[in-house]
Amino acid sequence: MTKGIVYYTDNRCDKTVWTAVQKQLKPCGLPIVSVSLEPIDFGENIVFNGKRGRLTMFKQILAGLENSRSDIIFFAEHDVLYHPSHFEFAPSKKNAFYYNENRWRVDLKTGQALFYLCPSTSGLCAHKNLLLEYYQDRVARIEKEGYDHKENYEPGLKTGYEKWMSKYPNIDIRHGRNLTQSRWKQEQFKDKNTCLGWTMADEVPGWGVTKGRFDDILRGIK
Amino acid sequence: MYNKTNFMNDLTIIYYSANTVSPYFFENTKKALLKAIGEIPLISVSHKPMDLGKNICVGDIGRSNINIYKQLLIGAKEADTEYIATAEDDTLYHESHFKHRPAQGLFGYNINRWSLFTWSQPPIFSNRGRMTLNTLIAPRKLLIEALEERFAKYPKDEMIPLKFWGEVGRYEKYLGVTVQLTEQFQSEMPIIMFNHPESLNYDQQGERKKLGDERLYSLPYWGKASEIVKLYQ
Repeated sequence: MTKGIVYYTDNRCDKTVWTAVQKQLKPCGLPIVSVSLEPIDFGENIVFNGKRGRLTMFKQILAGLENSRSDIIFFAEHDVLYHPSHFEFAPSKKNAFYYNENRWRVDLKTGQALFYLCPSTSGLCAHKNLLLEYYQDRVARIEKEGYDHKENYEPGLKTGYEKWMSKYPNIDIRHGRNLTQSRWKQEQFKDKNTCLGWTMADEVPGWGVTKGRFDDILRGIK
Repeated sequence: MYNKTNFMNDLTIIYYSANTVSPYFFENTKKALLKAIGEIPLISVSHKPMDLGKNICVGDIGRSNINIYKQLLIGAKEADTEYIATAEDDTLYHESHFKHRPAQGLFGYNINRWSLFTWSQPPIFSNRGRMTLNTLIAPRKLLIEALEERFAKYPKDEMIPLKFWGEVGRYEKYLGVTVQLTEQFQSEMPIIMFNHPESLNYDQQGERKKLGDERLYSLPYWGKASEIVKLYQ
């Protein structure tokens, strides 16, 4: 079984961020298929002709999956710093979506760090055939019926999924232009079960102190 | 705040120890325990004399999984309440744990119990949802019966099938004694068990022991694992 990465971007991310994210991803040594709205020099690049949005993102992911030659796919987003330990994982079941829940959010400006348990597409890993089946169906349904806001971004959330935690966390950079909402207070969650493990910190395990020096961390990634 | 008067008269804490943890660590866990139990009576059964509740010193009988249960039995027999709760020297208890009472005839285990491996980097709490002796709240007389039946069947330590010598309610079928029934409960606030080089389990598994699948960097009431681990170090 071979592992690979599908990286997708709308090219609207701060340069300091995407540069650091791409530099961080390269040493993991896995083949990368990147799908962007404008050409980028990263992995095997596919330029997708579309307008930024949910349907386009799903189509980008689908294009990435269709062009990957790997059996097991890790998703990668342009504003998430992936720790090498993330890619040590291997899904045991072919029919399950796996989410790495070891993810800290870090505010780009302040470096404030926050952890809570929550599955995210950025931490998704699964067998390619399962992902292909899901995204082909999802794209077809959106094109036919429109986007259903009751359905999550993340595959399997309502039908069942698996989770794991890598030895060290990934960092989800919150920069104000994220596709998903940034919430920094527990009061912002209607269902408190969706923010279990709430931990505010000045540092992220495995990455060091982020508060007040996150820019240094990003620029220090070679 | 809990109304302690409602639940302190029917419970005794049975604390058993081989006195192998460091004085620093012991003081920290003891402080948490005394805060958690308030006025609930405590009987400590230890290898060395201790100034903790009513102390019964059994002498240097050797640290073993069998002797833990012998010490527990001694403590349970000394108590006179309807229920007993176990307490260990490497566990941080919260008062909400001692509020629980199992249903009649059942042995209650708190699964809101999180492990903290002192060697783990980064420090993180994890939970396997397993029933462990340090979270037991039991009907005292039934516990005595269950343990006496075990020791009657295996009067000599060398006769005991060690791999089945564990928590009441888990392995009776294999030990050939009366099967005891268990219940799992979750206290309002978690309790924390340290896994450390002085523990019995470390002798068997060392640092190969795997973290539980559920992992958190901080726990309600206690805070961050990176801070709590300093209570050991």
